[in-house]
Amino acid sequence: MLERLIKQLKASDATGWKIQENNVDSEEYFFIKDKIDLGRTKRVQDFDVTVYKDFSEGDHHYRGSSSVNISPLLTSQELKEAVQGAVFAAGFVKNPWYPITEPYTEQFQRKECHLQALSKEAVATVLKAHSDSRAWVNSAELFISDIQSRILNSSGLDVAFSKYQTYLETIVSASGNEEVELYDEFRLSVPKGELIKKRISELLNRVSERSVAQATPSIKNIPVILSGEPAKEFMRYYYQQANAKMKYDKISEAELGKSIQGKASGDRISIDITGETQGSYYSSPVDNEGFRIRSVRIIDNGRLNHYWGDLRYSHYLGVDPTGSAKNFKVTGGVLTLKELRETPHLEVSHFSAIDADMATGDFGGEIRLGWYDDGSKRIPVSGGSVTGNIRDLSSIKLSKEVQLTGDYFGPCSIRVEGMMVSGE
Amino acid sequence: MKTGRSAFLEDKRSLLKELIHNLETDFSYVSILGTDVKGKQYQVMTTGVMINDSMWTERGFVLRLHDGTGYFEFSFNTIEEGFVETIAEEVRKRASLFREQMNALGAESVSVPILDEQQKILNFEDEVDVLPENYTPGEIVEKLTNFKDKAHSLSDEVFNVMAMIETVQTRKLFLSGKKELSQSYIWSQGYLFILARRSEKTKYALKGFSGLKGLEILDEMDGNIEGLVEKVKMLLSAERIEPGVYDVICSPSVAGLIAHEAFGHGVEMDMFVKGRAKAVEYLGKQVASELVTMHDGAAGVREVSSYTFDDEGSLSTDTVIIDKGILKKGISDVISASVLDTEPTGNGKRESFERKAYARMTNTYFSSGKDKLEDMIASVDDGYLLEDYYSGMEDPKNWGIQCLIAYGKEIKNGKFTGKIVSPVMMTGYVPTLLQSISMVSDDFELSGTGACGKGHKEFAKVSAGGPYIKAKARLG
Repeated sequence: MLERLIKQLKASDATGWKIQENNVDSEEYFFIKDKIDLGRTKRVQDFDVTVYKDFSEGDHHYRGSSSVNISPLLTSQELKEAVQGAVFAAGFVKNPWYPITEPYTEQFQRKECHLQALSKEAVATVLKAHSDSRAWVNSAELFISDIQSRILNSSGLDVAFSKYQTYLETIVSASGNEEVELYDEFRLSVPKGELIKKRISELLNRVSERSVAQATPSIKNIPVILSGEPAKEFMRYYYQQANAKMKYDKISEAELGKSIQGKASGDRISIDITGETQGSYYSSPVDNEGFRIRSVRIIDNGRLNHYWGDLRYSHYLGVDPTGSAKNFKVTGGVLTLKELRETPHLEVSHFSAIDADMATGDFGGEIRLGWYDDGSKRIPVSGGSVTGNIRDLSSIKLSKEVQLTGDYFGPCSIRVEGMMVSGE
Repeated sequence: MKTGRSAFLEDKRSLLKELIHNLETDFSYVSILGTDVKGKQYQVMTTGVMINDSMWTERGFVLRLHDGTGYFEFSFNTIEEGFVETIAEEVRKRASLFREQMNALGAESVSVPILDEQQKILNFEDEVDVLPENYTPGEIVEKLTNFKDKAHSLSDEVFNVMAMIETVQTRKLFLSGKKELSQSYIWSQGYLFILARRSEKTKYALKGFSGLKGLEILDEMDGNIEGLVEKVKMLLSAERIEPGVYDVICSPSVAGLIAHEAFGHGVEMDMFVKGRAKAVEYLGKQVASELVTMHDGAAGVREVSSYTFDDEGSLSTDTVIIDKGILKKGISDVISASVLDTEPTGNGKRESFERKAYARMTNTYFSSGKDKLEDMIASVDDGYLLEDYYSGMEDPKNWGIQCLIAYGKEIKNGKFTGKIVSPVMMTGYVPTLLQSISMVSDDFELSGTGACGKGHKEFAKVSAGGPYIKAKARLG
C-alpha cells in the first residue's frame, strides 16, 4: 500500500506531502469483578496523509494543506481519487507558508519487552485484586497495544519508531453509608504488574473512604488542595498557555519573559516539555510531522521562557521549533504534602469530571471524593463542587512529592487559594 | 437525494458470507460488521483554514464469535490473497490463544447465552437535500469565511472566530447466519464559535447545528452571527454566581444534557450487568415528577444518532425510559440483553470497527409538556434561566450529576434583571432534581453536536434535547 500511495502522491500536483503509517496490534480484556466478560484483539493499519499545495498572491506566499485517512482497503481508483481530492482541496486552504520537516533517516529503537508475558501478568493482577470484603473491583478494561509507526515526507524524511501503550480503566466499589464507586483511568507504556497493583490498591483505599464520606459542607474562603489527576489538569492550563498555536490563535496572552501566574503568590511554576518520559503512555521521539522533539524549559520560575509547538506555528511566531511535545514535567515545590495539609483546607482527589478551560481559565468540577480538614479533624466528603478561575487565584503552592500520570510528571498536590466551594 | 450505497461493501458481501460459513463450522455464532464511513471537516478560523478527513472516517471489519463459553471479537482492515482462509485461520488462532490464556489464569467467564436472532434482510438508503459533493471545497470555505468576516465586522472585541462544518456519509453492512442488513445515511454538524476579550477577561459563545442532513446545514448556519456576537458581549459582562440552591428554567439544550447525563447513562444496561446502575433498584418506581416522560431511540426522531440497525445488527427502537415519572426500562446492547434475558433495544454502538460495542444512548429527550415559557419565567421569584452548556458527566451508581452550563440569566419576581452569571456548575442528586420539575414547556428541540463518551473514551454520536423545564437545582 505504501508504495502505491507514494506513487500516487508523486504523480499528483502536490507541492509536497507527508505520510504517517501506523500498524497496531492489540489485546483487549473486559472484566466484570473477577470474571472475564469479553476478549478482543485487533490488527489494523492506517495511513494519515497530508498534501501541501503552495501558491502566491502578490507578495504573499501560501501553503495550503489537506489531510486524508487512507485505509489499506481502498482500491487503486479510490486511492487516486482520495489523493487528487486532497490536492484540489489544499488549493483553497489559504494559510501563510511554513516549512515541513527537514530530511533525515532514523530508526528509533525502543526497549523491547516480552509483551505476552507482561500482558499475562497484568491480567493476573487485575483478576487477583478482589480480596477486600469492603471494597472491590467492580469491573475493568485492559487494552495493551504494540504500535509501529513510520513517517515519510516529500523532502526525504524517513523515520520509524515503535511503542507500547497500556490503558486500564477500573471501576471500584465499596459498601458503607451506601454502595459507592470511583472511576479511574491509568495510562502507562508497558503493562507492569506492580504498577497496576499499586494503582488499584490506592483506588480501593479511596473508594472505602468515599463509602463513609459526608456531604461537602458549604465553606467560604478555604484553600483547596488538588491531588492526583486534578493537579495534572490544573497544570495543563499553564502548559497550554505556552503553546505556539494557542498564542498564534490569540487565545493565550502569555508573553516571553513575563509572568504566567497573574498575581498569585506562593511557588513559582517551572515546566519542561519533552518527547519521552520513562513509563509514559504518550512517549514518542518525534511529533506527527516526524520532527525530533526537543526537551525545553518553557516556563521558568513563573515566567514564560519559550513557546512550544510544531514547525508551522513556531515558524509563524518566529521562534525555534521544539516539536509538538508529548509530555510535560513540572518542578516540585518546597513544601511536603504533609506541610500543605497543616492548616484548614478542602482536598479533592476525584471530580466527576475536571473542566479546565484553556481559553477562559475557568476551572471546576463536582466532588466525588475529597477531605475537609477544619484544623482539628479530617473527614472524607462527597458532593458539591469547586469552581473558580485559574487567572484569579491569590496563591499557588506545589507539593515536593511528584507523580507520573498520563503525560504529566509533576507535583502530586497543589494548594490554591481563590476557588469557591459549593456544598450543603 | 439518495445517500448512496457502498460499492466497497457490496463488492465484499459474498466474500464475507463465505467467511461466516467457514467459521460457523467451529463457532456457535458468527457475525461480521463492515463499515465504510467517509467524512470531511471544513474549518475556517481567523487564524487559518483547514480541510481534513473527519475523525469518523473508517473502513474495516469486526468479527464476533461465540465459542460456547463467551464472545470474542477480532477487528481488522486488510484483505490479502486467500482472504477467507487467512482471516479464518487467524481469528481461530487468536480466539483459541485468548481462551487458553484465561484458562491458564483460572479466570472464569461471564456466562453469556447466545441471542436467538430472527431472520431479517434489510437494505436502507436515506435521503438528504444537498449531497456533500454538490459543493466544491472552495464554495464551502467561502461560505464559512463569510460567517467569520461578519463576526469581526460587528465587534472589535471579537478576536477569533471559528466556523466549521462536517459531513459524514455512513454505510454499514451486518451479516450473520440469519441477518443480512445494510444501511446508508448522512449526518452533518456545524459550529459557529466566537471568542471575545475585554481587558483581561476572555469569553466565548458557540452555536451548534446538526441532523441527518447534508450540506443544507450551511444555510441553517446563516443568520446566526449577529445573535452570537451579542451573546459573547453579554458574557463579557457576566459575574460569578453566588453558590446555592435556586429555581431554574433549563433551556432545551440544558434539559437534554440533564436527560443524557442524569438518566441516560444510568439506564445503559451493561451498567445493570456490572451492578453499576442505581436505576435497577427503581424500575417501576417514581423517579421524577409526573410531568416527566423521557425517551431514547434511534427510531422515532431524525437526528445524528438515528439509524435502522445498530452495530450488532439489532433493529432500532424507541424506548420510553420514564413514563409520567415512573422508571420503565433501560437501553441495551446484545450481550447485556442476553445476560439479563431481555430484548435488545438497538443501542449497541461502537466508536468504530476497531472498538467494542457497548449499550449507548442514541437520541435522548424529555417529551414536551403544556406550559408556556413566559408563564414559567413569570413563576420564578429568585432564580435563573440556564442556557447552553460546555460539558456534563454521569454517575450511574450514585446518581450524582455534573453539568457545566455556559450562562444563567437572573430572574427576580418573574422578570429578567439583566444580570448574567457564567459559567455555572449544576450539581446534585438526580431523583431530587427530576422530582423537583414543576413545569414543562410545549417546545421541543434536539441537538446532536459533539460526541458522548463512555467514561472518558468510546466516543459516539448522540443527540439530546426536549422542552424548557422548571426545576430546583444546586448551582455553583
